[in-house]
Amino acid sequence: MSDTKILSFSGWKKNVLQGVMIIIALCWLIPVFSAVYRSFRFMGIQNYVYVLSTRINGIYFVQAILNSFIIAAVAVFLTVSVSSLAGFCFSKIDFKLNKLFYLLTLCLLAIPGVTILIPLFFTIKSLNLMNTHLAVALPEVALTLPFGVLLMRNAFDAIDNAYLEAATIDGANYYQAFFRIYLPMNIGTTINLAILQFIWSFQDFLLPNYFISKKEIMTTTQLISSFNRAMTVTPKDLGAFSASLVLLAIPVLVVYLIFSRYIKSGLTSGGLKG
Amino acid sequence: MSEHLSEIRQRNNNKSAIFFLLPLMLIVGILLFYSIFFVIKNSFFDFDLSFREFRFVGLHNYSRLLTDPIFYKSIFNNVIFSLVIILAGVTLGFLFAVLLSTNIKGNRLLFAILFLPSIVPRALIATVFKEMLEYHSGTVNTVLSYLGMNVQDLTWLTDPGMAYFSVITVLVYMLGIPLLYYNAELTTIDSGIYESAQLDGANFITLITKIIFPLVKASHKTIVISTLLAMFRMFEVVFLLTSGGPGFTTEITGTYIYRFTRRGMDLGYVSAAATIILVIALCLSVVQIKLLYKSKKN
Repeated sequence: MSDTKILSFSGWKKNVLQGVMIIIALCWLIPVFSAVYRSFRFMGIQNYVYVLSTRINGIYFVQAILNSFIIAAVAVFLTVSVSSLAGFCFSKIDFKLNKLFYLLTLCLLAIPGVTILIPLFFTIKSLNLMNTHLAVALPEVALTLPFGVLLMRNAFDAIDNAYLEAATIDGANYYQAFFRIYLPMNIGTTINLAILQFIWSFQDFLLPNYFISKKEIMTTTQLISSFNRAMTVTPKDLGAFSASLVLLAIPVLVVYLIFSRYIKSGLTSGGLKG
Repeated sequence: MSEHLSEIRQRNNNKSAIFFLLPLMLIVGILLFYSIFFVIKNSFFDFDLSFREFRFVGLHNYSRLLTDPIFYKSIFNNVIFSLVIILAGVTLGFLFAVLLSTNIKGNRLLFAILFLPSIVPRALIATVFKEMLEYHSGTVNTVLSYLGMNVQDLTWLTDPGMAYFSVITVLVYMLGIPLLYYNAELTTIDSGIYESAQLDGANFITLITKIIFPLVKASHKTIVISTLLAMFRMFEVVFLLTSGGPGFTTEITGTYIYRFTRRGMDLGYVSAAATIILVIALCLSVVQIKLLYKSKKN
């Protein structure tokens, strides 16, 4: 969030505006109030103690969060490195088939994950990856890569070719130019892509739901839906359910508090403007 | 540069390119291109999740699919929901971004409140809304009946019309990403423009619609593109909120295909449905690519 004020108001206009924004924000908070209120129903804070100290559907809540983090970390690392390499190549290296490969990659931009679940299942099973973190992370990476490559290529396009020419005159090859000059210069977009992939991976429900059946590596979104299905009627369960929903929002809050600055700086560094 | 030298350089470039592209080619080749091939080929077969027996059935799967009205309905809903997201983004998202760029107090906090719902897991949002809209014990009906309203008919998730409305509400609720794009772009515009416009006596509405709105063209484009991408990842909102019901009113292609996929049999039929969706997705990508190239030329 920037501090630049593009418009300034004073007097009653400012007060009205302030009031309107507060009302809008309160509307947006209704689900939050609702969830927090329900999480304290019946047993108060005990709902939280119960969620954090007991296995729910065979897995500790904290373990599910950890699983989501592991998958997201793997997905982020692979997405960022593969997209950077390919984006650099498409932007700076003049080779046969450059344009063809790039366009082929872009054609995959809008592939919906759900349409290729069956072949992914077949491939993941053949690779012996069922019920592993990679079973979820790899398809997530594949589905984000076309976007990542587009983003990275645009970002590298915005960095002057002169650095590459200077580097080659000094005897450096493409690898050195990439790792020493272009990658460090492109840190803004790299962080942007990393955060987007993290958020997407953390949100993902479809792939974990299909590729993970083992309790120990269940993710948070799966935990929610298994709750949802087993929606029981005892007050204890209902309270615990709501408490876990509130707790699940916390990792994202923390990420936002740490990275909000980077989300913005990554965006304005030019990547998505293409 | 002599022709010989440039030829060496070209060959070198080809070698380097392989190094840089190999990871991409491996992942995308195995997981995406092979998958697409698999889906298209097997849409002409009948098979199940054991992958043991593939029986050729010709165009049978397609003829069944193309006579199923629910399939058309699901595609229609996908389009409608996409439009809702884009519309909410470029109107409300844009307006909120402008309002948050004024000198009101607490705009960092207000921004966070509006933005955060878009990055928490959608499964979480859908579930919270489901709890809120639940007929018997949901927060909405509890509050309304407390206020003296008759909530007898307010079955938010099981009445066809209301379920549709509920899904749309949740989609509008998640307008944080457009908000972020606009917010970022607004700060890059020279603030002198606003000042001179204000001096020229443009009122607030003219200023927003005639001057600021056209200035954030890049964001409009980004929002359309990213929405079309995110649209297909929106599966969980509908799946967890209404599961496509009641009576398939809120069915989207995601829930349609997923239901058949989950059954683990009749997968040729799923593949045929997937093939058609993939073709549409491919067309979307081509449109996106064209837009991208056009904006680059300008």
